[in-house]
Amino acid sequence: MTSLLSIQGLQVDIATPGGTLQAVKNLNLDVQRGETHCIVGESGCGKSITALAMIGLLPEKARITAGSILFEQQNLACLNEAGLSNLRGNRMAMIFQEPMTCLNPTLTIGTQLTEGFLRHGKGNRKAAYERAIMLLEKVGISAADKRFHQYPYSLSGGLRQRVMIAMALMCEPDLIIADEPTTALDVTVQAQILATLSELKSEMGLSLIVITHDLGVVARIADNVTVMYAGEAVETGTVSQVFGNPGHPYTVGLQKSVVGSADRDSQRLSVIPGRVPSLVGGLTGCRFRNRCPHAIPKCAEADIDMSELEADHTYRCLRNVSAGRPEMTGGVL
Amino acid sequence: MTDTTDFRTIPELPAPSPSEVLRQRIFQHRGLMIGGGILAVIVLGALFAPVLAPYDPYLQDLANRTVPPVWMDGGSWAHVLGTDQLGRDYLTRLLYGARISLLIGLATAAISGVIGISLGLIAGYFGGRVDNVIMFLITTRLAMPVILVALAVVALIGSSLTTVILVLGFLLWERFALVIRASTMRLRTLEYVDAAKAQGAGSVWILIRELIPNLANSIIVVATLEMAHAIILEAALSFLGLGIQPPLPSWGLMVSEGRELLLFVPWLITIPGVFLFLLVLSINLVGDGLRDVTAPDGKN
Amino acid sequence: MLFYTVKRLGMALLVAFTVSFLTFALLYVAGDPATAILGPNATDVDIAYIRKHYGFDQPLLVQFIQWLGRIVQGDLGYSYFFQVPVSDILLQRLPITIQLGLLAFSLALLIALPLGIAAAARPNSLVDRLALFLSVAGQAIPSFWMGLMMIVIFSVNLGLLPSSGNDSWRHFILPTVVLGYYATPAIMRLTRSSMLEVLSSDYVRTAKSKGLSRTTVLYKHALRNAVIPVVSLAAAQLGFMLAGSVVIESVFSLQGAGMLAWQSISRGDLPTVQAIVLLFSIAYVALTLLADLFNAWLDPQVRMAQ
Repeated sequence: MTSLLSIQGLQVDIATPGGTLQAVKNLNLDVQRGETHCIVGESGCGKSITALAMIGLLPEKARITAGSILFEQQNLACLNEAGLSNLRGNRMAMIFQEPMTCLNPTLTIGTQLTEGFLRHGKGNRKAAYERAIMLLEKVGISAADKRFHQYPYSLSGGLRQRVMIAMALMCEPDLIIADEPTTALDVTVQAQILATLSELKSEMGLSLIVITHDLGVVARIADNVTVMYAGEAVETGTVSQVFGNPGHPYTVGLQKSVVGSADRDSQRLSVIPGRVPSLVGGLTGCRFRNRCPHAIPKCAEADIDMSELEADHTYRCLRNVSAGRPEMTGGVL
Repeated sequence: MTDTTDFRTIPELPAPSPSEVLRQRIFQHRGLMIGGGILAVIVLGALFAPVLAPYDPYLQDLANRTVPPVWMDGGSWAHVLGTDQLGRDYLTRLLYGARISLLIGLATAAISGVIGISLGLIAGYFGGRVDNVIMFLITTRLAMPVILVALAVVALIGSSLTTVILVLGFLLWERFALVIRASTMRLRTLEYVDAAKAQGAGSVWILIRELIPNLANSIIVVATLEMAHAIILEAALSFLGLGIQPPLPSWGLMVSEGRELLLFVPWLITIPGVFLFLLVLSINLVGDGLRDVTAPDGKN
Repeated sequence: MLFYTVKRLGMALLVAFTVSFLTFALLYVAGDPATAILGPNATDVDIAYIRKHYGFDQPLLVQFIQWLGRIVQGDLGYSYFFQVPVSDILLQRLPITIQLGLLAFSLALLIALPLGIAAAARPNSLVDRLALFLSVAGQAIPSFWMGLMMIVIFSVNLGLLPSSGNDSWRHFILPTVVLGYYATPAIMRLTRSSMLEVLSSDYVRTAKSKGLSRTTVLYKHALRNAVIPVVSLAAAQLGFMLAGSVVIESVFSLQGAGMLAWQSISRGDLPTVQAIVLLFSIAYVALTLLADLFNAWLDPQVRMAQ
């Protein structure tokens, strides 16, 4: 079976005053129909750039320099603007991080909900209105008709994010990319939004890519997960594989920095020491080695390939440190 | 430490020092370089006018009236830019005129700067009712038509270099006030002002010690814009006969004097106008350039 | 909206009141207004007569209130020079200035808005560079000099257009171009920067993610928000252009209120000067008030508020 979305060897460069920044390097990613795939990592690791590359909205200074993004057999990396905009909002839709600023303050919710539907020729105004009302109710907004005619300022952040979800669903897309959909929201609202998202996903049979730095989100909704660090995928597999049997020291570090995980007794979070290296200019070797407790001289010598830990579970590390070795589970990073 | 940690370090391009970045930005900024170059030439010409000028700016030579500049028919190297309707050497008068324009620009910017910066600091730092009052002053000032009020006041108290400087200085402070007010409001919320307060510094002390150096960039940028503004206004006032008085060689006055002979010797107004244009252009380019190179993201 | 309107109107009235006091105070800038009217060689008897005649012997505040009372009733004073009510002269002269101002303003908008939008839509393109060049050069050209150069080129050398007077529409072409060009750079720059800011906003990215066309994103989503600061600036510029007419009308001998202001200043005809200063100031206050109300109306949050 072919994947709905298949990214092969994707590389995205960003031009900066100091030189070219390798924001995404040699990324492979497959998403099947009906799958929820999470991309996790710290901020600045290339998650959002990957998402923007998928939907063809990279900022002006960023450029896809290698690789392909196959969506339903079409290579998005080679598609022109017209072709991309026919897919955008239609076959694939995006939900952004900041619900407070993502809606146009001068247009009504209804206008913003229906314009994509009308643009992609899905039906007339009446059909657009009916679908919008139906979806608003589906995402849990009461008094949908009243909201339809309101402006964004009268909606709370949680409601706006629900509107964004409804908007993404307007054209019955096959794929929704959600970039940190709950980060800006209250904790209680976060859970509701996530529940709504996964419910709608199974109901409508669509695929979901969720970009997040929050392992709680991953645990709640993901089928598969890709861990990214400094522009590279460092580990990928099913949720239980990656977090039950992590192969990369960074994955371990991420797990430990979650509330209520390793240091439950001390109520303190373990923090991965050091910082993400600057990606300007070429880097060779493992990009995590400056923060890694297991680094050896060989880590610096050459780029490291993904190796298979078990079926469908790969990781990018020289040292096979996964198999219950004490320093991986109990050691301090 | 030892070589065991060496392999861990990830080589990074050496980050250039802030002053190096600034220098690089300055030299790569074309507008700033062009503007700075033109301005430097004009300033040097004004400073060394007595040495450079071939004649006395007030020396009339009625036998040699309206001699055209050297590149036109009848021009000669004796008067590179020709002579005016009283036979005075045009280049000499332009060099001395640059002094007037620069003096007006600097003095006006200084006076309006002191007024505007003080009001802006007070409004931005204290906020609330004080801010309302100062915003009201700014709004009122903006409602007064500058050129008209300047003309009327200069006419009423008698036109002279000092009057023009004072009147313009007291009229052009509002941009200083607005910009400094906004920057002060932003800086006030930052930590270092709180830190100074925590150490027991008084309000006035905080204002002066902590804020002014941080506002230096905005002040310089606004000062250049107001200098250019003042120079154009002085030229306009002098052109209308209510600014600098003859026989002083103000560029605006020279355009006005040349106007009578507009039909016959158009270069009498072309040349001082071009100088005025170049001076204002160079000051604006320098101001815009300084804003660009000191902006955090380096552009716009 | 009503609450906002009332509040904003109150502010405008307060500014107008302050401005009128300052305008009134012009009378005393030179010291004794009676001496100013009669000149330095006047006799004491004459000065005493003039003082009494114009009410200069009253307390300052009383004079101001009487003056303001007359202004509010439409009595703008009596011209020393023309020996007729100032309002009579202004009724002849103002239409010319308003005509010039509106023509120049339309021209400025016609150039500045499309260029600013086009420049922002494609930064660093040829259009963007052209716009930048026009605005940098435009801000540095003194308008009186540009006017004279236009006369030299179009009237003297090419003989295409008249150089002075206001007899036909052709007389308005050159002054309109010069005054319009004076207001163009500021509006264009702000349009560009405001548009650039909006184009990089989150909601424009959302609009793009829906697959909307470039034009829809630009005009439906971006322009409506980007225009807000431009409206304020444009209104202020129209106000400044009225004052700018003093210079332009003098260059082209256009018999408008600006030219009248200049002549009256030279003649020491203070009531006429005061009336024009006051009118231009009030026009500025009214224009900025309208702009703010328009912007408030554009903002649904203010518009919908009770």
